[in-house]
Amino acid sequence: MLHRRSALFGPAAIGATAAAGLLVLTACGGSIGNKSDSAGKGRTTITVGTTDKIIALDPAGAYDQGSWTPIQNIYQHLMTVEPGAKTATPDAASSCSFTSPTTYTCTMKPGLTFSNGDPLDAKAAAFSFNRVDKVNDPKGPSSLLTNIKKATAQGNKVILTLGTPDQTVPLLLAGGEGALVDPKVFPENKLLDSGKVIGSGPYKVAKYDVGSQLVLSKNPKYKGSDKLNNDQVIIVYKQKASDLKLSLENGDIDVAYRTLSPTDLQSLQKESSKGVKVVYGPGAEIRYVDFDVTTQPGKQKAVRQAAAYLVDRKQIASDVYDNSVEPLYSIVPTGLIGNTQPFKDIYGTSPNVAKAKAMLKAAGVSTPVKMTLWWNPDHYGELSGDEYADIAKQFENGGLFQVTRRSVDWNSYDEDSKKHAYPVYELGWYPDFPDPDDYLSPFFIKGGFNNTGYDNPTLDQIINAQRGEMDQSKRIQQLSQAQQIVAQDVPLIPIWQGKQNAGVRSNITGVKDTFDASFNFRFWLVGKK
Amino acid sequence: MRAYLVARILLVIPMVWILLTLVFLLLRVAPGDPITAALGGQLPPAELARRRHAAGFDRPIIVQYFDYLRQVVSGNLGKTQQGESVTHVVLVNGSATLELSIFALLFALVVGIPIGLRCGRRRDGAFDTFGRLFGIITYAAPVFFLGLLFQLLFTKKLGWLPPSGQVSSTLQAEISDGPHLLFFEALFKGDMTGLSDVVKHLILPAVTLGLLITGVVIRLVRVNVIQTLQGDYVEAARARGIPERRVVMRHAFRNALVPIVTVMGLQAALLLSGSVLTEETFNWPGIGNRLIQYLQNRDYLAVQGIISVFAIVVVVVSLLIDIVNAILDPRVRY
Amino acid sequence: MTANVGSAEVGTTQARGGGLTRRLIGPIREAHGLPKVLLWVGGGLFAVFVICAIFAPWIAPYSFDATSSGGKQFPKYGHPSAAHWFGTNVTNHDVLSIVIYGARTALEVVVLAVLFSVIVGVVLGLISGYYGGWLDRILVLIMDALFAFPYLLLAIVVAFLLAGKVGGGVMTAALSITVVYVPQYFRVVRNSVLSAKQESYVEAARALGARPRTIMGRYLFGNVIQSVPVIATLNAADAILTLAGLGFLGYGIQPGDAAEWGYELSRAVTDAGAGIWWTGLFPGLAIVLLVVGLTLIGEGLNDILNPVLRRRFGRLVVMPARPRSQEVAGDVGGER
Repeated sequence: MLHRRSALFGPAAIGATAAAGLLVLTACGGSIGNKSDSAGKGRTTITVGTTDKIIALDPAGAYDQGSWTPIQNIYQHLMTVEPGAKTATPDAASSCSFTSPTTYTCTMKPGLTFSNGDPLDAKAAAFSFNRVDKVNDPKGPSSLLTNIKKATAQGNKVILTLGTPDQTVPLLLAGGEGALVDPKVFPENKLLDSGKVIGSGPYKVAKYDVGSQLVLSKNPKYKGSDKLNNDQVIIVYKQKASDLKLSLENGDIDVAYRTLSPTDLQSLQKESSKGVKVVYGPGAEIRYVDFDVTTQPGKQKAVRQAAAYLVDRKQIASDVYDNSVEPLYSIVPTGLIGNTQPFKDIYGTSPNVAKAKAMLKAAGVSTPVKMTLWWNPDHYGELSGDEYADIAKQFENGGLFQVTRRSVDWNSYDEDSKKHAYPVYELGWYPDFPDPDDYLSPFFIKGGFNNTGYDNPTLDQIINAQRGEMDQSKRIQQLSQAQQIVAQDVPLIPIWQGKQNAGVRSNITGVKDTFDASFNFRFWLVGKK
Repeated sequence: MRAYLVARILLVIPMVWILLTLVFLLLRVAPGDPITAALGGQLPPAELARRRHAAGFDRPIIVQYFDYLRQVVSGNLGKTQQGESVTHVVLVNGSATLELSIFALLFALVVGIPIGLRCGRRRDGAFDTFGRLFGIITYAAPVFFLGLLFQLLFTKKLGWLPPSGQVSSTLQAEISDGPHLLFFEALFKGDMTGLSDVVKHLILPAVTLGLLITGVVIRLVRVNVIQTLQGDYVEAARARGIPERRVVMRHAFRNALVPIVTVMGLQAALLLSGSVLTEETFNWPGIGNRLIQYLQNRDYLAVQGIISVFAIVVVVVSLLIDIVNAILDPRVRY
Repeated sequence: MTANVGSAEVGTTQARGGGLTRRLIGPIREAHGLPKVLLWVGGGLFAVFVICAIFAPWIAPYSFDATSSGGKQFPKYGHPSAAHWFGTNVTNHDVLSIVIYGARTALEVVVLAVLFSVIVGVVLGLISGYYGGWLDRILVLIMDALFAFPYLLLAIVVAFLLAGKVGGGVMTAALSITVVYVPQYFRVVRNSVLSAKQESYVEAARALGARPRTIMGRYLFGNVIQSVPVIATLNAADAILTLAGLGFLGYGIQPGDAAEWGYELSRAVTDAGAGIWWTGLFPGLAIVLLVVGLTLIGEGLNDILNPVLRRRFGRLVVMPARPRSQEVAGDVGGER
């Protein structure tokens, strides 16, 4: 009875546009009908599906996992993380070392070239670092490189001058922000179109359809040490995890990487008859409950400690996440150097109501303690809701707390949580680079970027010390101390640590080998049986 | 007549302006920005603010508004956060939506017209009841529910059809960038492997979206046939002893066709909104699918650009319809 | 701009005087045959959902957000069983309870949305039609602009906007749907007013010095309001689908605030892939049945109140001011 007027595709419009479209298409040529048959034979193509998205393939504009995954395969770096390693080793450099606490010097390997034949030398490397700061893209990684004050080329050496002594530099250089670009192709002050990027890594960009597909083909000029187990990788961008799973079962993709839901993983595990399996590996993404220590109830340490006694991480990992995550007992996740388990040592692995009660009683806190627990539905995944329903129940266990759950959209959440508006709230952290310091400095130095009001000068001192400590064993000791202090003060309660996972067709090899705390998906390791 | 047409055409300008302003205001009042959406939680507030400033998201709203109007007028719709020009998105993804819509509409007409005809002929009969119910149910079943059932049956259970997408990824890797009416492309090139792949991908989304419109087609055809069958000339034809079948086909249906075509033209919103949900369900790389994606990323510049195109198309099409109507029916005046 | 409001308008201009109810109920009582069946079946379906909605706490075995009962935790993805007729979902909730409480949410949202849009649409339509002039022109432009906007997107954007300010509850959903439907009532009412304004009794009242408010309230309103029920019913059906669409895309009611079918379906997409059919099937069927029920009522009412389609030709058919083929043909019942 009522007709909508927005006639976008009325018959007339369809007819006209279709006719026009067909004309254009037939005129252009060179598409679906013209694929060359010869190219397809004897080559291994791996198709990877993902729900991530690419923001930019130019490293100066990328600060997200979706962009870094292809970037790590297209470019070389001064340093790299070998699969499973916890520290970085030279890649485009033949050697790198601290020539002083604030000077990091790398010697370039001779004869390296980009995929277009341009030389990759010390000049190109210095250009790459300085460029990130010059481009200063709002979505770029410039803030990660602030401690690298300048990069200079001297002969075949690159000299990085640091603001403060910094042991995280080697791992930083191995990340997407340290990708080396071709000075002849990349403009110095602005981003290059993603479709035109040139690197010297194992792959080069063959085709990029924004939002739907990226085709990477073997870079014939690649001179690094990594052996490629395939000739071409197609990354297919999907919207929904459920679609990822169906496509995998259907055989349209070989690997489903980031991010299958726990339910999908569960059901894929049981489907070996359909030729699929699930591969797990360590991950470094974490989730935690943050306390604002300037407001009630988190103001009192005893309340925070009591809450730490009540959390049941194993239940969340198994019930909410089907064990696709693991309990986290420290701010620094396992898989990184210096990780310890202080929350386990102090508060135990299962909830302890008696201890929590005693804690509150000793501090003279009257129960039940009223608590507003905030969580966010549109940033940390839809399971956050289920997770925080469970955490609320765990806090209420024994009648010590009376919890009200609240949620709000991400933008308000991010802003308000840093203005002391939320007393207790959900947060997560994806590492910028796989160094334990990335889980300490941002959180705690001078109150930390979450602005929770928690500041412990002793902790700050230890964190600063380990950051500049050149002796590895001493550094590990300091890291342990820092984690211990965090567990005692409980400015936050670590809940879980993600595992990396992928659904793969059963004839696919090598996916498990690439899973480590570096988060790098090394496409070259993936092969077909 | 001429005065009306001139007035009507002049009216397009305030119409477009109001729509554009509406789009802008709605999107600017909405919370969030792409920087916070992507990097919030990872960066300190000061750093976030600095980046928002660098990207120009904190400029005065009025400045942004005039910038936006200037952009639209100059035909430059800006860039998405992924650095793609919105015009390109509209062209490439719009063509995918177009392909889906063509086949959905085709399906709806092929299925809907015969049913509607028969319903209209034997009014209140058993078939009429069935036809109306069929129409109501296809209209009542949400696209995503129907799509889910189809995916379960034809992909999961029977394994006949692919679950999503417009073409297999290995095949897509071979296709050059640009607008894709893949069905016609493959057909013209005579690429049978490609064609069968494209058709397999097309079936489920086209049928799902098509069923939604089928209900509308059935009702339209039915009502119009009933109405024309009551007309004097039909009575006259009957009186002359022309067989009922011919009466229906020759007189009733042909006369009913004119309003049907007009109304179907107006039903495009149904197609568009339906295609947003269909594309979302089947991961069809159309414009609706992209729009939802941009909304999720808070990429307002992209959303703004795409909706502006919608707005302009909508206004122009409604202008065309009004002009056609004015020519057909001189009584129309405003 | 074309008025596509169609057949409801057709039946309105004739009858005047006498209560709205009598004018509505009369033909319904007289109705027989298919229209009556449609009405009865639709009414029955609708009644079931209304009962579910009102008495949800008594009918539903558990609360929509309960994950345990009597200290016993519900299973995750429990098969339909005696304890859970429709099974349980990923969050250990009872699907039957969600479906029943979902009726409450759906009806709350739809009643509010239809009420708001009728009120806003009728008031604006009356004012615009009665006063005319520049006010009318501007309102018509704005309404046409809103009308032309792809409505699902309109609802999404408004929902999105309000969620930040008001929170993602029933009111937000209702308001975002309201925005979509206001223009339709505005058009119907404005057009009816335009034609009724020319009627002698209105002119007479004006000549006698009746105030505009009185004329609008007493004469125009009663005349115009009859077209509303049919549109309202069909809009209600449509609004349910819009709500579900919003929920499916994640812009509807926030989980935890209330049970909502569209949201359940969006989560069930994953389940379906794993062979868990009950979490999606039942909420989906609930949507289909409720929409079918409302559409049947709307169709039945339309059949009865729409003289063009009426079997008995006893009454005089007064065609609207501009008898345009597509208006008469416009018996297509809302849209999505």
